[in-house]
Amino acid sequence: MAGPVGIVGRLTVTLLISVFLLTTYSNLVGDLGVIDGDPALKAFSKIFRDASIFKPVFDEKNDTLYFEAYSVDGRLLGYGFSQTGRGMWGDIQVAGGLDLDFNVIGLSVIEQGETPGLGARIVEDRFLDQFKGLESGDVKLEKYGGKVDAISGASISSKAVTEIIRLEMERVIPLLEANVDE
Amino acid sequence: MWMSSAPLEFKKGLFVRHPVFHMLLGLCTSLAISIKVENALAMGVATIFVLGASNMLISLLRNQIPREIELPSFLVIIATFVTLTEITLKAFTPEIHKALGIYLPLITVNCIVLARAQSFAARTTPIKALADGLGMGVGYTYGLLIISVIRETFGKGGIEIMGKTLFTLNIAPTELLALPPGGFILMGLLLAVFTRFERRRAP
Repeated sequence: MAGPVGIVGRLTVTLLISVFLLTTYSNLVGDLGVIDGDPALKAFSKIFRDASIFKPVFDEKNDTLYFEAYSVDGRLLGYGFSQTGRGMWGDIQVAGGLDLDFNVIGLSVIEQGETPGLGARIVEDRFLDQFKGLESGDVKLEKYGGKVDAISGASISSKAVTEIIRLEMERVIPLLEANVDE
Repeated sequence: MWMSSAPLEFKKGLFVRHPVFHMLLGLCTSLAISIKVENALAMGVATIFVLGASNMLISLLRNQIPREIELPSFLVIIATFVTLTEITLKAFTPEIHKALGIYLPLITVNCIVLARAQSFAARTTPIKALADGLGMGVGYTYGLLIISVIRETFGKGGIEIMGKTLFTLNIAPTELLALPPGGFILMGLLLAVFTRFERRRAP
C-alpha cells in the first residue's frame, strides 16, 4: 500500500484532474454563447406581449431608473423595472411591468433559489397573476391588509416577492408622476 | 452475488434491490423533487448519468485508490460528474436547472450514489459496476416518476410538461399532496404496497 506521501499525492492528482476538467468544460460551454442576453429584457417581453422596444431611463449618474415599453408604432405601453431582494435562501430577482395608470400589468421572477415545491412556487402564474391590476397600496400579503394571498407553506418567499414589488413601485411611481407632470 | 452477469446487475436495481422502495436510500430527493413530473424526470436522468459514470470510473480506479482515502476520492469523482451535469443543464436547459435548484448539486451526497460506489463499484469489474449504476438510476427514476405522477395529478389537478398541459382532472386538487406532509404520507403508502408485492414474490 502507498505511504502517506503517496496517499496525499494521489488525492492531489485526483483533485487537479477534476478541477482541470471542469474548468475546461465550463469555458467550452461558455464559449458556445448558450448563456444569453439581459434576463430583465427577456422578462419584459414576456410581461408586455405587444411591446417591441424597451428604452432604459437613466438618472444623472447614468444608473437605470426604469424602462419604458413601446409598441412597434412607438406608442408608450407602460413601464418596467427589475429589482433584487432577499428571499428565504438567497436573492430573488423580479421584473415587473406597470400600465400607464401605474397598476401592475404582470410580473416575472428572473432568479430565485427558494425551496423547490414550496417557496420556488413564487414563479408560478397562479401566484404572480394575483398582482395583475393592483396599485402599490394593495401589493401586500392579505394578513397585512393587502390583496396578495401567500403560497401555503411559503409565506417568507411570498412576502419577499411582495415586498420587492411594493418597494419598487413606491420608488418608481413618484419618478413617473414627476415625468408626466412635466 | 459476484458470480452474476451484467444484465442481472442491471435488473436488481429495478425491483429486488430497488434503491428507494427496498433500500430506502435517496428519500430526501424522492420527497423534494417529486411534485412535478417534469422535474422528477430531469432529476432521474441526471442521477442515472452520475450513477453510471461514477460507478464505472470508480471500478476502473479501484486498484489505484488506497483504502485510506476511498471516501474522499469517491466524493471527488462523484462531485466532478455532478458538476459536469450541472454546467450542462445550466447552459442548455436553464429552466430545469432553476427548478432543480439546490437538489442538483446535492446528488453528490445522495446516499444511493455513494452507497453503490462503496459497497459495489469499488469491489467489482467496470461493466458490472456500470450495469449496476444504470439499473439503480433507472429504478430511482421510475420511483420518482410514480410519486410525482400521483402528486402532480391529484395535488395540482393535472400534469404539465415543458409548459404544455398533458391532461387535467375535473376535480379540486388535494393541495396536501403537493406539500411535504402529503409527500411523506404517499411515500408510506407506496412503501406498504411495494413491500406487499415483495412478500408475495418471495414468501
